[in-house]
Amino acid sequence: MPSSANQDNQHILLEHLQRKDEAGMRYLFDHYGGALNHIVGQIVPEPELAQEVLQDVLLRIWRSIDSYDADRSRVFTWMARIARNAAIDRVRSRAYRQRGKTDTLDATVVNHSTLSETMPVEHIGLAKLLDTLDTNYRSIIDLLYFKDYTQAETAKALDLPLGTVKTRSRRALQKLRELLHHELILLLIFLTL
Amino acid sequence: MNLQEYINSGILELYVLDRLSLDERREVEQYAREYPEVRQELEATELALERYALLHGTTSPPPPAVLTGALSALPRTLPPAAPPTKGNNWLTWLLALSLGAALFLAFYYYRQGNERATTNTELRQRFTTLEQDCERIRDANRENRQQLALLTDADTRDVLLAGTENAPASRAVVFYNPTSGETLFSAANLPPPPAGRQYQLWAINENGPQDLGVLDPNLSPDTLLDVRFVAGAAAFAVTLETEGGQPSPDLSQLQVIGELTAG
Repeated sequence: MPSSANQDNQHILLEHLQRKDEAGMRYLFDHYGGALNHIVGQIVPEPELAQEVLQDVLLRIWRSIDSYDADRSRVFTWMARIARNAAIDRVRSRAYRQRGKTDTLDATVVNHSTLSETMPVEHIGLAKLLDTLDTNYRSIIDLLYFKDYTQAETAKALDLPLGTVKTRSRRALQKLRELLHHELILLLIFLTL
Repeated sequence: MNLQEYINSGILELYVLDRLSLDERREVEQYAREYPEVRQELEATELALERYALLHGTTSPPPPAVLTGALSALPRTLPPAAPPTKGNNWLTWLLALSLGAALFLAFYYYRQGNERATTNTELRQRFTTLEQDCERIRDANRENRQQLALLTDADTRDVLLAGTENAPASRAVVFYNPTSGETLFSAANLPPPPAGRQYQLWAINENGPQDLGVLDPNLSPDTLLDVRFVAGAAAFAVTLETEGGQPSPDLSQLQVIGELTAG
């Protein structure tokens, strides 16, 4: 089921990081910087601050690669978690709150319905994918994956009964997998760029 | 437990999304270890989210300053970056360089050797020339000394051969030494002979005119010719004869003549 190409990519990344050299950092930045930047940017909307967090995330990944457990998850899942946690830590930090941005998290909840409009959709593959993916499915993935919403927060934001978040996320991800499968060739082209 | 029902429940998705309680996480991890289907489903979900994030990432590339900042924060103690391929490369370059240097030196010495051989040949030739010159000069010097010795000898008589009616302006000189038995001749003033004719020198003694030889048409007036000695010579004469000379002189063609004065 998992694509061999992506398996290989993960293998390359892991080899690079385990060498603990500058080239590893460059590879991480070149191939995963965008995705990690997106994850951070979804939680920390201020570009300057997001850059600080991203730099911190890259360093954390580079330094703690030895603590990655291949039996528990893929490398990217592990890295995405580090990025999400770092971003949330920053948003919840005292310094951040003193900047008077405590309302940001709540504000994004309200703005969830305009998610598709505010997202910069420059990529043809992504645009096509998002067009095909039902807005409700997309929202649940984006809120859970990128925004770090809890099940309860997601249910509230999407106006769903609490128990349905689990099954809705299952359906959303099934749909995503199906779409991605069709987009595989396109994806591979862009990922190798 | 119905495995498919468990997979379909969506708990695996929430596990990947990190939205489960600690107890739920442990349960999922337990099942993942026991059932390959669960493990496979988890991976497929991870991969889907990974691709989704990477796709988003293509639209949000981070500024290069982030990389610069991250790189500058790395510890400076980097492992020595000297993979074996680099060493081979280095060795290859060294070998290539050595070969190049060797070829250059070989060419250089070959050229230098060539140059030396050329110089050597040239020097040899110049030496031979000088040697020959030296020999020639030594011979000339010896001859000059002998002539000088003869000229300054007390027994040597000088005979002036004055011009006859045929050639009033012509002059020649003979040095005759009966003691050492030597004769020298100098064409002091003889005009170039006409075509087909040649001057011939004669010594006259009691037996009549004796042939001393024909003169080179281009004979220089400075040259002292060592000619055959004839004993008891009383006079010397030059006649103009047909080319190659004659056994006896044509006296009608007498050019110069001089008598040996007694004493």
